[in-house]
Amino acid sequence: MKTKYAYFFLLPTILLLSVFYFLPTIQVFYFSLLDYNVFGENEFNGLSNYLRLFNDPNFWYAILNSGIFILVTPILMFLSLMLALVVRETSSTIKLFRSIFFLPVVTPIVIVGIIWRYIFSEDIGLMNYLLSLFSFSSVPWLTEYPTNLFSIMIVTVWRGFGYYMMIFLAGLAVIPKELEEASRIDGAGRIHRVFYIIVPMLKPTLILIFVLSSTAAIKIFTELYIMIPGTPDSNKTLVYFMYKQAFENFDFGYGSAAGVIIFILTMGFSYINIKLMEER
Amino acid sequence: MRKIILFSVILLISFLFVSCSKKEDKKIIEFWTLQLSPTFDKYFNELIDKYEKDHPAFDIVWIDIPYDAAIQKLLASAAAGNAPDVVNLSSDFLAKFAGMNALADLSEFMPNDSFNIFLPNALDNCIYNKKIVGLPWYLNTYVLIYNKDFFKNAGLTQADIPRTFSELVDITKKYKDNSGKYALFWNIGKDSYLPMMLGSEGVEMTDSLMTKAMFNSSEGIAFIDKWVQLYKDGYLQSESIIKPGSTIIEAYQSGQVAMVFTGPVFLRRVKDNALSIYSNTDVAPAVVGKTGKHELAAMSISVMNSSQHKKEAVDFAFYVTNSENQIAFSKIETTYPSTIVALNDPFFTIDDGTLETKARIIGAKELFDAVRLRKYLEHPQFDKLRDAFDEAIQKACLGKVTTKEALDEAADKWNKILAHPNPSQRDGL
Amino acid sequence: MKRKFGTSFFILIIILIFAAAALFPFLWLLGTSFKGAEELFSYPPKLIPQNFVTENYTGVWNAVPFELYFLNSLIVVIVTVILNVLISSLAGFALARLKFKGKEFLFVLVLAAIMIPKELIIIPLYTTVLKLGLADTLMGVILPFAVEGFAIFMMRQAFLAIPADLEEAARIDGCSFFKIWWNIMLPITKPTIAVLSIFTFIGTWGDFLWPMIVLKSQSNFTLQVGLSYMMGTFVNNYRYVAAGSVLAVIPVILVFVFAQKYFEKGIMAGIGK
Repeated sequence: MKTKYAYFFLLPTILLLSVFYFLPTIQVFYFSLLDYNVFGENEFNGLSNYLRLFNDPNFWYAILNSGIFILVTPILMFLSLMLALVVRETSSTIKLFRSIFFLPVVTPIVIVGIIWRYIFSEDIGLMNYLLSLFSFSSVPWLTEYPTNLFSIMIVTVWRGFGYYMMIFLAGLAVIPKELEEASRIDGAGRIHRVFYIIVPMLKPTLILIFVLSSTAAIKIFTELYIMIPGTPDSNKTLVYFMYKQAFENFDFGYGSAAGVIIFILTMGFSYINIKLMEER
Repeated sequence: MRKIILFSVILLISFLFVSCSKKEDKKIIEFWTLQLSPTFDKYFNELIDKYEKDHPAFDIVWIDIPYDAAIQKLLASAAAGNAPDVVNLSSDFLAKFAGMNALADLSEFMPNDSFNIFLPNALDNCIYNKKIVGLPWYLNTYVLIYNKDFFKNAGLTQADIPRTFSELVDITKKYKDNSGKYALFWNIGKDSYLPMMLGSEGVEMTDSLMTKAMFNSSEGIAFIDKWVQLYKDGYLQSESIIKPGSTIIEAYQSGQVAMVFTGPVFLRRVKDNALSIYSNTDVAPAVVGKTGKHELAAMSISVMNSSQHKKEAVDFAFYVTNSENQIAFSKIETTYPSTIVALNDPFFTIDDGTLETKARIIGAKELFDAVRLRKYLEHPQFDKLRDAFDEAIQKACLGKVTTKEALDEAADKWNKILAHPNPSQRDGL
Repeated sequence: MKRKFGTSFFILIIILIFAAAALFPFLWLLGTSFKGAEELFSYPPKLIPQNFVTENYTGVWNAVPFELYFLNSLIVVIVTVILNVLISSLAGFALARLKFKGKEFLFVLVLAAIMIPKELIIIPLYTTVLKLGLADTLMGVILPFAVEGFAIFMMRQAFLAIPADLEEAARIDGCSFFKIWWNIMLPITKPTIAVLSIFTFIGTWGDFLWPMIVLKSQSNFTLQVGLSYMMGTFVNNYRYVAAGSVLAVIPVILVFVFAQKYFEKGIMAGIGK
């Protein structure tokens, strides 16, 4: 239904996003072309910040590490879908589990850091303690690369399954009850029901979660900042790299260039995937 | 239709929140401090009231910012042309800001002898490129905080308290051998303490003109290797190479280690969070090297170049850092004033038997022999230098390379950075 | 029968492990907020305090102007949630169900808004907010994030999942798009709106950085900003921080629990009319 009214629906969005998202973004694009000094003189640098990025081994490591983090997405999607299927019943005990699974999302990040740093502590942590019970030797969960990335991935999955579970619940709630009832009466097994009835109906939700999760994975920062700030730069991810350049080294132009690349990468990745998934 | 009305109503209500600009006849000086609220609320309100009474043409606006967002807030305000006039900076921030030409040269506004009230080494901390870019404010130095009980249980006595770095290394080994627990937490791999130890021991990190790295001299390698060995032999916690210095007191107050080197101000934290540890705590002077020099940590007050009222801002900065106000400041929490007169106040010499006072007195004495041991902070790219050094230590401790190899590699990086301060000219560093 | 029991049991164990992992840090937080000074740090961390004390709650309540900060946060959150839900469901509907020129382009823009690294744009954003006269106001905290890319995307996906014939029927009946949106689309997407509200609530309630940058006057501080003053060199009482965090998280949990009723299965069932 072609209509001009669409623009009214989109007006507030366009207004707000332009002023508060796109305008600053353009400014950041501009900063990336400068030797930007917030306190005074800016020198136009052209693309030399980007050239520097290209030659910076830590930037390439950051890309690699961010890429590794995308592995979290399929794990999270699977886990949260399974959990959502379990907790969609309406009994009170089940509802309690919904809240419990959601707790990691609302637990303050500082607490998350304290507890998980303890769990992964090489000397006194829970993980190595459990390993020792089975006569395995200690693992340097936080100090060695790439093990420390996997430790952070575990924390990320822990933080995320409740979050995506909720989105799946919303998606599941819209599936007509009759459809599922019908297939159950037909004698379809539970797994069959899940994969052939539910998942196809969840397609828009799946796409949403894939994009949100993979974007969040590429842009992961806070968990690393809280858990392993002391590891070398080659262990860090893209947004951490950007943050460090902009806010620890005060090299704002260089950090902006990194930000621009991050934007292009995540944008490209998401858009391509959406197009691919919406075709099928 | 109804919904559009509702929507507009919401928008209209929201405009209630827009602040109306007040017409001010007074000149406003904005003064930003780092995480001093709410502890010093009363102090600053009184301080500012008094100043405003004496200077009725001015309105001092005090804003305190937590560390977590400090740098973003400062940068955002500066970028928006809304930076403060007077700002409290830590030595890291001071070095960075000075390098970016953000700070006014105070010697342009006051005669040279006005700066003589400050402890010379403290004032040195605020001089970059021959400009005085800040006034030293409250100082800190390190003392040895240790757990008497733990010491006793490990078969150690007062006589075992280390005074030199080699004694420290020995005691770290002996304690663990005797008790099976870690003796000490010191961050050696992130914002590493080793440069400070080297400085105190008299081992130069660079030549005097800062053009060449020298920490990979045989002296330097030998000194650092002792600590790398300690780590490799399991005498230091595994996370010592990645935990930042801000976590020093945590290791102590949770009973994981028997001793730490940190400022006396942190005793309060131990008292608040771990009473049982606190009641077993004692203090001693910090370990120093052959030069006998202690580390000086200084907070400073600077005037931003962007200020519209520089002269008045400088006047206010001197007011905040005068001896009287600094003594009052130090009486609230255990920090040290930066003026010579204030440091000689009986408050810092008369013992009343409490642990805090004992620590305070020890620290105060040390301050007269304290300098900024990390000379490389003066370099505009000090953060990259620090990173290169930290990574070398981490590699060596994890056994990936020998200490010598790690330090040689770091020295190469340092030489590249020292030769070309402008980052665009150094690929990948 | 037997096989079914086995897999159910297995699933139960997994669920319990996940639940325990999800619960542990939060329980520790709760326990810490009731602990006295003597027993804060122990390894392994103890969950249950030896002596229950409530002084941490009274302490943190009095250390900072808690009610004021709480109220400010509440205002910010409520307005943000309302604006976000309204604006993003309007936009999501258009992107999902309407045909118009530039639709693909606008969708790309919305997607772009999700990808932008927030930490970086915050710097120039402050300049814009200052120029608009919104610095140091609650509206300055609210407005820039009154609509989020992910919210629009979420609503778009939700609307896409609704079968087209529903809309056709309404159109044939002569409903305007607006009426369709308000009377039909929104009620169906209640579950998604509930999730969006929860997420927006959590995100805004827990936001520290942006309010910190925009606000200067203490009277405007939100809760997270206020609580950040509890962890510094001179004031670092972990128990107070724990109590403050628990108080801060209670509204979030309440909202979550309240929103649960929108997840009941079969909401679609009655819509067929």
